[in-house]
Amino acid sequence: MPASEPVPRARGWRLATLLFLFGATLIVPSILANGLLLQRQAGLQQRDIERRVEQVAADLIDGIERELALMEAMATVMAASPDLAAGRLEQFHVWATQLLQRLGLNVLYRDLDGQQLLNTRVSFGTALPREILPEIDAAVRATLKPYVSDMLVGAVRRNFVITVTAPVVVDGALRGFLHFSIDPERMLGLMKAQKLPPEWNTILADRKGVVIARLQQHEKFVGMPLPASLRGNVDGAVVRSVNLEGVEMLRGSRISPVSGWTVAVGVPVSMVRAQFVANLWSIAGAGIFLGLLTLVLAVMVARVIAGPIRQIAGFATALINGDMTPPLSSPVREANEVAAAFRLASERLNARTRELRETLARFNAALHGADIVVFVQGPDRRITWISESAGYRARNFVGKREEDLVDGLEERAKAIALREKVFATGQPQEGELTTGVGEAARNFRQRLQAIRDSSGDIVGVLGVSVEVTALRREQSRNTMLVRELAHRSKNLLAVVQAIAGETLRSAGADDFMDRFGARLQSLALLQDLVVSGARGGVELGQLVRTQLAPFAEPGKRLEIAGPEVRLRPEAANMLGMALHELATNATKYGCLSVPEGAVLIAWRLQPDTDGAQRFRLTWRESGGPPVAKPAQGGFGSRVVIDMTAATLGGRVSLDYLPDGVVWQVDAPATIVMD
Amino acid sequence: MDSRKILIVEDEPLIAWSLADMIRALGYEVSATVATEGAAVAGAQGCDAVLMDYRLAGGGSGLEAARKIRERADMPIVFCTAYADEPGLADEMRAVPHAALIAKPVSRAKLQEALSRVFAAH
Repeated sequence: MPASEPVPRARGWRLATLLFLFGATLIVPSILANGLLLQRQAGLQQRDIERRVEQVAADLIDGIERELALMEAMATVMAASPDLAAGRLEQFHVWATQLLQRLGLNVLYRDLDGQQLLNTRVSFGTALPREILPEIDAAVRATLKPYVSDMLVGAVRRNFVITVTAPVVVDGALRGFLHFSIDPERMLGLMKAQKLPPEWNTILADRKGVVIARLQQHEKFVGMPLPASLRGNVDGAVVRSVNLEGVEMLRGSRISPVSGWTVAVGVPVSMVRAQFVANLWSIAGAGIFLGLLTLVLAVMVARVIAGPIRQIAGFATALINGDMTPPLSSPVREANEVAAAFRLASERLNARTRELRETLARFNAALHGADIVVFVQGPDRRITWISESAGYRARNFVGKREEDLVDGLEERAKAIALREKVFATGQPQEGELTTGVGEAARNFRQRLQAIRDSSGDIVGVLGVSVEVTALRREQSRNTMLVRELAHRSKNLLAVVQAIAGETLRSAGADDFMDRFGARLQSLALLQDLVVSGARGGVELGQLVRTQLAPFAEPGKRLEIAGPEVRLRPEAANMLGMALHELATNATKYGCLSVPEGAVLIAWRLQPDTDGAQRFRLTWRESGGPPVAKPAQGGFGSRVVIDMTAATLGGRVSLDYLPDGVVWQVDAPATIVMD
Repeated sequence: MDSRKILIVEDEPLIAWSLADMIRALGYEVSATVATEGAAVAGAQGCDAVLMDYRLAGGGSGLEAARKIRERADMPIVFCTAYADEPGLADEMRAVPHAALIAKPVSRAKLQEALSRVFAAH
């Protein structure tokens, strides 16, 4: 990851979300519990209302019972009035009017035929109608006890009334019927006296289901028969029903034992629900409030926590760049502790990185000096990493395979096979790879070993390549040198064979070993010189000193003069052999055979008339005994004259002068010199 | 005394003269002793066989000299070389028709056998 690249976004839950969920896990159960409690409370409230409905109905029915009982008592008392028994109806009218006026009641008296005889609603003497009330009359006749009627329409005023009828019995015989006429509003008054909440409603219906009184909209519904759905109430039961106005009500009813009337008390279901809904809204509001509060707190706390976490995430950049991570002072102690741990880790990481870099630098330096290349190849044999070197650029190799890097088909196949064998067997493999041909050919010794992942699968190859081109060339050169040495040895044996033959021919059997041994020794010294000076030629002065060392000491009897000249090996061999033969001859017959004799060996380079350089060497003996040219040339003279002239391509002369032998060589410098 | 003349092509004088002594001892005549490729090609004219070294003076090649000589005449050739055990070179020299190959150092008997073989083939 480049140092400037921000920390990538990662998958997962936001801290604020997690905190909110944490808060929600605390709040939601509480809200659910409150909801359950609310539901339970709503049930309790409903049962409480039902009990109140029952109670109100019971209270109302009690009040009505008491009122009707009072009416029955009063009717019974008035029916026993002496005025009635004596037929003093007018006195009775006056008395009854005075008595009942304050109570808001009226009374009428009918004979057994239904003819009204008096009615306190009208003045006495007013013509009264005959009224047939068969149900009432039959009941009273049958029981001779007071009877409470259902709703009636009054015969005089034609309004709704209810009556409490008592039998008028005189001397044990039924004489007529005394009716207390009660306005339905009297029952309404009992209802209003209960002072119920405005939503509450009560209704009083007679045995036939006709409305006697209704707390709400009495005038509208009085005298109206109740629909079948509102009849048939079970005494004391509380049920749900729809009232006359179409409102769903919680309805409780009681039936009066005295009159058979039904009292119903109703509470709108909506009112029952209202509290539940209100409480529900309260809880929901509280839940929403707590949720919002949790959200706000979650965001605030998340900011407090996320800030340091993001700062710590940013430490990765410092780690990548090899910088120290900064200390952190945040409100979150754990974050500060993590930052402190990061700081410690960065310290150690930096130290290890430095060590690693130093090690890598030493490693690369070692590789630079050792012509060693380390590389890694992936499972597709593409190079994924290669050590740096001064001889190449790593980027020219990364991503490439043998198909891209090895030219020769055979070598390429060999390199691929070596790697495939590592992948197939997992065993280290070694092999040699050659790139290029001829002088451009380069040899690499490669060792490959498998790279395995944590599960042991081979995921690549680690290779070490050592260039062995110089080694191979040296080996090849050594092989050639050995062969050349063998050839030269055979040639040398042929030379020795020739020397032996010539020595045997020119010397006697007694002298053979001395002469042959001396010549071999001279040949050996020459070989040493030729071999030691193989690259730059043999220095002539050194050749002369070496060859003549067994015969004379330089500076006393041996004078050497000439510039530095480096001889070709063939010329050096030839001149060396010639000098040995001359020195041997001088020792036996010439100047070196006496103490006062001396030899001068001088050479120079001179231009010829055509400008070409000539090599001229002179061997001049002096101080020795007189010498004479031998009658027959032997091996020595053949070497000194013929072989030297042939080998150097020049002129050679050997003169036996009075002062001593003079040997002169004149040859092209290009043949003689290296 | 055999009158057939043999050209010695050898860059080492001692060996050349030793070979010349052997040839004369075998009864043949030595037409010349040369050391270079050019001298070998020129000297081959008028002789009956060539005793040829592989390495010649001046960087010359006995094989090349033999090829040039054979371009002019079907001359019997005996390669006499220290490279007789060099697989590639020995094969090349053996591949030359009617030629023999002997290794240095040379014995008189081997030289006689080789010369007899190449003369017999012609």
